[in-house]
Amino acid sequence: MNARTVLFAASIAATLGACTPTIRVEVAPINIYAKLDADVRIRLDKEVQTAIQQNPNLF
Amino acid sequence: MNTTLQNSLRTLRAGATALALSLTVAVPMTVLMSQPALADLASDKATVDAAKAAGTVGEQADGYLGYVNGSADAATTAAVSAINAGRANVYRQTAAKSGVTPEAAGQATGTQLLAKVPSGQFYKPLGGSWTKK
Repeated sequence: MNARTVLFAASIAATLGACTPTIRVEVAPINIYAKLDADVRIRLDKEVQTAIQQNPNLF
Repeated sequence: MNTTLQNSLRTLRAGATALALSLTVAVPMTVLMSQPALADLASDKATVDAAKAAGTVGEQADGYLGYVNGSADAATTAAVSAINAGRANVYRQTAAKSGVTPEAAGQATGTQLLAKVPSGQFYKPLGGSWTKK
């Protein structure tokens, strides 16, 4: 009886030990641009086009 | 009495001339000082273009230049840093004009730049690895 309790407790401990939480931090690159509203994106695309043309040394 | 007044007037006039002279010298100096930054950027661009052709530098989807092999020589690194700093500035301005974040402006630019990458050169999609076009 007592030995069984000990065994039971040990098995629980073992089970819990196996489940040590692993914290995984994955930084997923979020495409903020794709999430923009269509009209905002169109306006932004035009601004970007102008910026690229106006800064030939940067792009 | 009259001579002392004349003398002090003369000193005053001399001072004004000196001030005017220093101003005329100082203004072109600031123009000259800001000039090398532009010239440097042009040579930085040439360095980066050569590195792109060599396959050490490529365009990233975030709108910035990156190192295909993780690093590059000092001259290339300096050129890449200068251009990326200039781009960050442009992205801030574009973001302010369009009401988006600078990151979004960078990604919007990256999308357009990646489309223009010549074949044989490297580009890095968001979350992806360096790919040869």
